Amino acid sequence: MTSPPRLTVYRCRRDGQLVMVRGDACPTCSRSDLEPHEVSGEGFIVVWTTIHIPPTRYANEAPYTVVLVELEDGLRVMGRLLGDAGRGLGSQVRLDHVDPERGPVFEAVDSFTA
Amino acid sequence: MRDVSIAGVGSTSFGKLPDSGIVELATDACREALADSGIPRERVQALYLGNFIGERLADQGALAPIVARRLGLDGIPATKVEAACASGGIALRHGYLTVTAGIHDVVLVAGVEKMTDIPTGDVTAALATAGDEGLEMRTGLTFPGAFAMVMQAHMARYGTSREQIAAVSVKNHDNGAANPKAQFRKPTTIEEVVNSRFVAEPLRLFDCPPISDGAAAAVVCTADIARRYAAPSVRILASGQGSGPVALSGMDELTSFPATVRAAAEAYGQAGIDPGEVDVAEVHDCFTIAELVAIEDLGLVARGEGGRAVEAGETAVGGRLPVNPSGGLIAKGHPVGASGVGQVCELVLQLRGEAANQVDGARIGLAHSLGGCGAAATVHILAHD
Ligand SMILES: [Zn+2]
Repeated sequence: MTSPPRLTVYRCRRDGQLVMVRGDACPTCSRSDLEPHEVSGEGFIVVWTTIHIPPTRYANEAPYTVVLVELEDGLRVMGRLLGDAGRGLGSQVRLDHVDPERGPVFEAVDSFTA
Repeated sequence: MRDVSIAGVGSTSFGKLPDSGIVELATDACREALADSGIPRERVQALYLGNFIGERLADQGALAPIVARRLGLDGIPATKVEAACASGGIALRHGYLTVTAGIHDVVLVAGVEKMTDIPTGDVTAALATAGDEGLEMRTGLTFPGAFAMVMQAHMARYGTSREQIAAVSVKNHDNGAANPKAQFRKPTTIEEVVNSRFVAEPLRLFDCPPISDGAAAAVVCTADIARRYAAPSVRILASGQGSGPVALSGMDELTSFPATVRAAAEAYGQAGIDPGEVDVAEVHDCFTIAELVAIEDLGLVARGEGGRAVEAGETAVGGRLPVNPSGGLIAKGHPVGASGVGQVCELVLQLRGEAANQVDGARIGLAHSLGGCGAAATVHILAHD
């Protein structure tokens, strides 16, 4: 079995705060002394939406579900959810893959078969 | 700092206006505002023009100098202001700042957008540029989607009901029905709102504003000049502005926009009033839930009480604090770059006693404009002079 995919983010060298983007100011020290850092792709859905009227580039994909996920490290990430069966506030998800155009894609964790 | 007034306002109708291009919409509104002010055109020293997506949807950049020249104001500094859906409101702020600072005596402020007769997917994509593409919008999140997330968070945190949120749409459609400039001129019902089709679950069509064309303009000048030319003029008591996270993943709370809180604190401080002294407000109801968050962030109701206040009729015309008597963006229409100036036009009419849904005895009005999902906000407080 392969190890679950992880997400590459950035970590403040001074105080360990995590940020999403290279060049971000650290929320704690306001500096930008960052190094790449891998985090677990597991977390829970903070909020979700299912898009019925999409932008033109994803016209053929609607309806699709977008989720704001809080990862185990506390970092929040916007991503797609595979299907819409697991959508729900607080539902557990894990990173499935990072799509080069769409960004992180999560899948619902089925707690009964885990 | 000099006292600043609005000497005149003008506005096109908001809606589908196939006979006018983006430049004609802007010049129509500007000419109406100048005529309303009585101030000769030659006295205008600068133009600030709010516009968000004219380059994408109307293939037109350099909008401010084009509009200035068409108005016969060739040569004056003419500047386009872009702050997503707060573009118009922040254009007004720039007019205010240059007049209060003594740089100009008379400034023309306008906002314009041309959005209809364009495929909905293209409009959706253009509006989504106000979000964080690299972090969030590339997922396929849309603006209605972002506010659908805010709606879920508000419902979960405060127990706000679907019907309370729908009550915003019902109230604003009731108001729009009486406003001759509004795009939607008929009432709706809670049942119609909660059964309309999904745009971005759980947000539905009647939670959203229409896609609109339109322009609005105001003549901003020293209070002395306004008194000389304009019979009724309206003072700008305060102008506040703030910014906040562009990405939802960067928000501490999904149920409050710090940009609004900051802009409001600055404006209340300048005006020397507290929220309880506001008689009428035009707030940025880009979606039903946005009006609830706005009136909470502005301190017009207690945190989490927005839904209850709207449901109880407190924000209806005739209620404790009428909000969006114009119909708001939801019913009056939302030509995004124009909306912030449109709100101010409506408030000026309220404070002159000439509005379609006149609030009895209105003396202090508040306008709130939001860009993106909390990226930028501006608050203006106006008073009967
Ligand atoms: Zn740091």
